[in-house]
Amino acid sequence: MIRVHFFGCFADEFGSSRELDVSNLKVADLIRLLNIKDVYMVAVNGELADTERCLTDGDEVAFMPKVGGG
Amino acid sequence: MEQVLLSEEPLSLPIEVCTECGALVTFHGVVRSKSKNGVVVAIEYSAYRELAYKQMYRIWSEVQEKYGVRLYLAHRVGKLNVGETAMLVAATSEHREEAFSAVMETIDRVKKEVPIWKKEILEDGRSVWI
Repeated sequence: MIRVHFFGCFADEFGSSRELDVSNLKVADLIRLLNIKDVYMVAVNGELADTERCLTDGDEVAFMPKVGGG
Repeated sequence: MEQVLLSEEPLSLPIEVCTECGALVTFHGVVRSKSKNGVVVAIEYSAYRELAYKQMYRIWSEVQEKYGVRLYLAHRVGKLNVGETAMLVAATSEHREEAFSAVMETIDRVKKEVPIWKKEILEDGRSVWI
């Protein structure tokens, strides 16, 4: 089971979080599976990660659109 | 006093200028009413808080080391009305050049590297992610 969190405009589209019963996936696979467009940042377990990162059971993944602080 | 802050409360400038410092440069990022989307009445700031703080701390640490300044970096989350300060950056240093450069680089990096998002609340009732 992987918990996925969505931020910014992604939360409007996908909800703030959901659990997925998937395994043997990379972050890029999950982006394709969920059809998320224009991912700007990804974090796994609270740390920035790239899309080639392999996911394991219990991971928490965050998908973030373009940031805009200030 | 915490030198990196992500807060729901209004921001104020806590930095003290040491006797060896000849410069204090401050920047207030303020919510403005003018937008390509219409007339703004407020902006709702949201963040991935844990990661946002980590990224802010990283920027604070790297910029201080690069320019040899003392830096303060704060950002608000939540709903801010027009005129309220969303981001506050301050640098003290011996001379002005490094303080100006440190503040500019900090602002630019926060806008690119910190997971904070804003949604404009418009006068006509619409809200728009920007």
